[in-house]
Amino acid sequence: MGQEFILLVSATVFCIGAFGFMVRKNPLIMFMSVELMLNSVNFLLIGYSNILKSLDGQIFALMIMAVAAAEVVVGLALILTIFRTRHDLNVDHLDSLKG
Amino acid sequence: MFGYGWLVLIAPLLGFLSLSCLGKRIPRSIAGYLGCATVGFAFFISLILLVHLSVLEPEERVGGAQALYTWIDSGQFHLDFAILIDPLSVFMFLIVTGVGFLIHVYSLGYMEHDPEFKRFFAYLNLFIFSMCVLVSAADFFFLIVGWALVGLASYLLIGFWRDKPSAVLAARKAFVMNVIGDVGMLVAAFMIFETFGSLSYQKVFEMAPTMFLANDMNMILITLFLLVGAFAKSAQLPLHTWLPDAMEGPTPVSALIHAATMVTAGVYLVARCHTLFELAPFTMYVIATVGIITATFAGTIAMVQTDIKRVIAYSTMSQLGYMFLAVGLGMFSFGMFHLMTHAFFKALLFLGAGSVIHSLNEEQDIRKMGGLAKAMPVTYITFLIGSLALAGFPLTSGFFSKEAIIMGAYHSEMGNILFWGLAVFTAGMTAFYTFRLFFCVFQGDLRTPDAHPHESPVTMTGPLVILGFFALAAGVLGPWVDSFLSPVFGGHAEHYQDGFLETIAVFVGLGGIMTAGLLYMVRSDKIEPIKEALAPIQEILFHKYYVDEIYDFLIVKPVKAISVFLEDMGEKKGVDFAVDQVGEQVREVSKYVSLWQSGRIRDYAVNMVAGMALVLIFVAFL
Amino acid sequence: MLFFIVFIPLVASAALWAMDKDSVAPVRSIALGGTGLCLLFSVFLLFGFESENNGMQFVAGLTWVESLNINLKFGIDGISLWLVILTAFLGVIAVIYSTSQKNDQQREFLALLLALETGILGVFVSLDTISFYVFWELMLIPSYFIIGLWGEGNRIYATTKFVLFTLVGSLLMLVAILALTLEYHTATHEWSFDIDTLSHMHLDDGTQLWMFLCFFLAFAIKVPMFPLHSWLPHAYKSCPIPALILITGAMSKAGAYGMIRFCLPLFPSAIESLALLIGACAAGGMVYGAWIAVMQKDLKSLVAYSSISHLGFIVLGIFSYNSQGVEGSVLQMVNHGIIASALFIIVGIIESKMGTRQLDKLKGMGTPMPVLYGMFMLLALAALGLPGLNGFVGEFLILAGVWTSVTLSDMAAIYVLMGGAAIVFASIYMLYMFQGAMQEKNEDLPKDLEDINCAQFGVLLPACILVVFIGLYPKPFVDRIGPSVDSALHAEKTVNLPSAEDASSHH
Repeated sequence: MGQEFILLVSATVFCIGAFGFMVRKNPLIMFMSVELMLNSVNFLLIGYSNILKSLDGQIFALMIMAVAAAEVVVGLALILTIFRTRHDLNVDHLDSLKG
Repeated sequence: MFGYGWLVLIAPLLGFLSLSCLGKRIPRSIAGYLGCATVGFAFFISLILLVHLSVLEPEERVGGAQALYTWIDSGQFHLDFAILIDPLSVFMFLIVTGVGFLIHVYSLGYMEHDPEFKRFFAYLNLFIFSMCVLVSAADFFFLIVGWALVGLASYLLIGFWRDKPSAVLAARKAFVMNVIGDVGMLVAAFMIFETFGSLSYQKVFEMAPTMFLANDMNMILITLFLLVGAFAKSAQLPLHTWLPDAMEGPTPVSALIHAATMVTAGVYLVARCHTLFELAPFTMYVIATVGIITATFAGTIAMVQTDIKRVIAYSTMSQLGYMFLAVGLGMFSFGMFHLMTHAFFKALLFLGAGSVIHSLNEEQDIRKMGGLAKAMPVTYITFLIGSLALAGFPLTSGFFSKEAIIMGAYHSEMGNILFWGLAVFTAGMTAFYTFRLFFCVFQGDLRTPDAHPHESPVTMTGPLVILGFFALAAGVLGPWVDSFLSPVFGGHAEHYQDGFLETIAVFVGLGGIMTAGLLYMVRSDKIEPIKEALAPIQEILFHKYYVDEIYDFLIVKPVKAISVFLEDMGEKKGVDFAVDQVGEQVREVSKYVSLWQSGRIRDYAVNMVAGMALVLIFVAFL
Repeated sequence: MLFFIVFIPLVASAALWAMDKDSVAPVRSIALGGTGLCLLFSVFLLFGFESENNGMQFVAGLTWVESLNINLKFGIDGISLWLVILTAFLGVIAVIYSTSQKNDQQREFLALLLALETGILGVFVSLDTISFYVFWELMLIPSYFIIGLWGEGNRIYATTKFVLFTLVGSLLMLVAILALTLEYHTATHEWSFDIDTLSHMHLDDGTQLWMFLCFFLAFAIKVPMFPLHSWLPHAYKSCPIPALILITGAMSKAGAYGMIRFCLPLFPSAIESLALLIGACAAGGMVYGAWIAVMQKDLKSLVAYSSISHLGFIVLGIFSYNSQGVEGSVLQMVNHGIIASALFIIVGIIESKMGTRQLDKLKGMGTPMPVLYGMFMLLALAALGLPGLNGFVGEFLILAGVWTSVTLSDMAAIYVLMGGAAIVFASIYMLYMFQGAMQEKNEDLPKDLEDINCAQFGVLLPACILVVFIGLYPKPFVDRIGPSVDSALHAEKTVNLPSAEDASSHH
């Protein structure tokens, strides 16, 4: 696996994630997009850890996964609460912070 | 040399402090005597000073400034509280405390039934103290202090009957006018300080002749600003309107402050600063001109007034005009001489008027008086003496002092026929209105049927008699005044002899008396036709040439209107509005800026990505 | 010593917060004790003060941030000496006056009042720019709550305007403070926030100009100087009287004090170029405030506008840039502190007795209240600058300074005449106020109207005594101010910037 390959895959996945986050209205899908972005970074970290023969990247990746897991817990809880109170999951309708 | 000079100041000050601060602890019975005693003591000290001065050689009599304590020391500005004892200040001391003492005694009777008897004596003492500060100041700063303090005392006493709205108004008017004068003096003091680096009379008067030639612009400006103060205090045109209104105060106050002493402070000022004024002939000319114009102006008004005190008040203005004419023409000792005789006969007239008012239960309209000669013999005779002196009847005190001025108006260096003519004309008017007043009050029949006139108590008639004596006889003091004051003025004033002009002046004066007698005694049926014939003039004169109305229209109303305008436009629509607008505009702008904050997560995400992209581009390519 | 003086009120304030809410008497005694102790100490200062010494005295310091050489450094000279004593004195007066009135939340009010006092005192004694700034902001917070919570009328508007306005100024000042130290760092590679050290630094004209403007705006807003005074009428009108005593008497002096402490020694060339303009604003303010005061019907706003006029005098005196003018200004700060606060107390008394402070509804109070009559008259006369009383001494020195000023020379005569106009207007509005309230006959006076009680008399009496004393014998005051003013006017410039050194070596 060459360096270019890792970068290419990682960038592609990141862009898919970012794009998905920007265009989808369902918070669950948006969540998945976020996970995609995180994982693209993880992929990059692990790839480079392999190239550079250093374990730092992998440690970082584990760290990110842990944080992502925690985030998912909070995020899903939020989504559930929002759904329970509003019976509506379209994020465009959640604009009470409008200036 | 005169280490005890401060006693003159301290006595009335203590009187004022004890009467005003101790309040109920001083019984009413003692208060009056205390007030008189302090002034009497001051008079006694002044007499000692006079004797002390007289035994000195003439050249030792001047320049006796006594520093009491250092008042301030700031930068180049060093000032002692000092009192100056020289012939001029002792001369003024004597008049102020002497006439002041008599008027204090008079007030014992006049104010006897007033509930605020004590406050009255406290204020009177304050006045005597302030006036003594004024005349004994050894520098321009304390001159201003005394200047303003007499203004304060005058304010307090004019507004003494504080329940009367007209008195309150008159007091305020007097005070504000005098503050205008004070500001003029203040500016003069700054100019003097800048020019000479000192405010002390001694230094300034020594340096001025060596530094400046006559009519130097600097000297003219300084003297003109001093003059603003002098004119405001002495009620000369155009700052005269407060004096007639000041008659709202109790009559002894009018006698003491608004006739005998305070209003003459302007004349004193010019005499005191004669070194400066002599360097500014232009200003001297202004003084003489304003003096004679005021004399004539006030004399015409006095002819038609019907309030007994106002007639005398306008005659005071007129006589002050004479004094200014005298000092303006360089005849300082004549000015001071007339100041002295005027203090006697004018105080006498006011006190006599007070006695009349007192016995008629506060009636002041001369049209309602008449025939008081029998009921009040002492007042009658003394008032007659005062009137004769004011009219310049030969051999009374007023005759000597006024003749000297009238002669000088023609013969002195700057004199001319116009000054002389107006002075004689005014003398004629003076004689006329004085005797018009006299005849209206004392001759004929009483025109208020239900009044019961009675002679005043001895505390009131006593001072009248003493003043009457001086009003009659003080003329002989003329040469003495001249020689006593000559060390201050650096020479004698020339007494001009001119039999022809003198005769004219005497006859004009007698003519005035006779006309008044003819009109008001013999052919009083002619008064009405004459009045009707002269109705328009009478109207203008009765309204004092409408000066009050003009001032109201030109100054008072605009000042108030601008004040309201400033609050409305300057404050509400100006600075307030500007500041509020800054806030408003920030809020306005934030409305648009906040549109960016749509509240939709996806927009934020787009913004974030775009921002990151921008940063990346920036880092990568720039 | 100075630490005690500054922090005693703060400690007392903290103690008040810890108190039980309903215990009225202990609250009162703690507040009174705190301010009283503070006054006692500050009077002790007077005895230890060497009047010939032109440097800082009673210097005490604590290190705050060592790496940047920021210190909590206190010290006083002849200028701050009187202002410290004035503030401590007004603190006592304010507490006494406040406790003599009914107030539901006395404890909180007094605690804020004491915190305010600490802020003001700290400003007057700080010798370090950062601690100066901190105390400067500390003044703001309590006054915000006092006006906002206990105020009257449109109090939220007033307090918001006051705080925002002042904050703008003080943030500008912060920028200038930091820039000043950076300049110093550039010149010497050392850190210093010490005012004295910084004032020996030579700055080039452009730098002086913008730094001066930053400082000056902060001070001018605080004073406030026309046309930046827009917060004052609203804030004064809303502010409860006891706090107003401190705000008008002491806090407004902080601005003028700052001008003397910072602007004079630090930026001489900027002052020379801007003095005429500032003088125009100050002189304009004198006339403007006085003129508006002439027609005010509300006694409180009348005194407020008269304050604008008097503060104009003070600023004008400072920018005359000579010793008479500046000494006159310092003295006038003390005078105005005494007179204006006493007048506000009188307004408060009148309002509490008559239920109104509208001039057209007041009349004839003098007859049943002779003592108030006398005191009111004395203070009104002092305020209008009657010679023989203290107001005149300050005004005279200021105008004499302006007249002989070099920086104002072109316009000096005009400014003095404007000052004269302001004095004339002062006599008009003060007499309107005094005569309107106290004189003439009034049949509708409440029957049970009594003269002022002992507490009110005690509050007013010291002011009356000082008014007369300073008027008759100002020397002891001016003697102590003088040397310090001279050293502020003639700060030696010994520290040169590298660029300035280059420039001078080229010539």
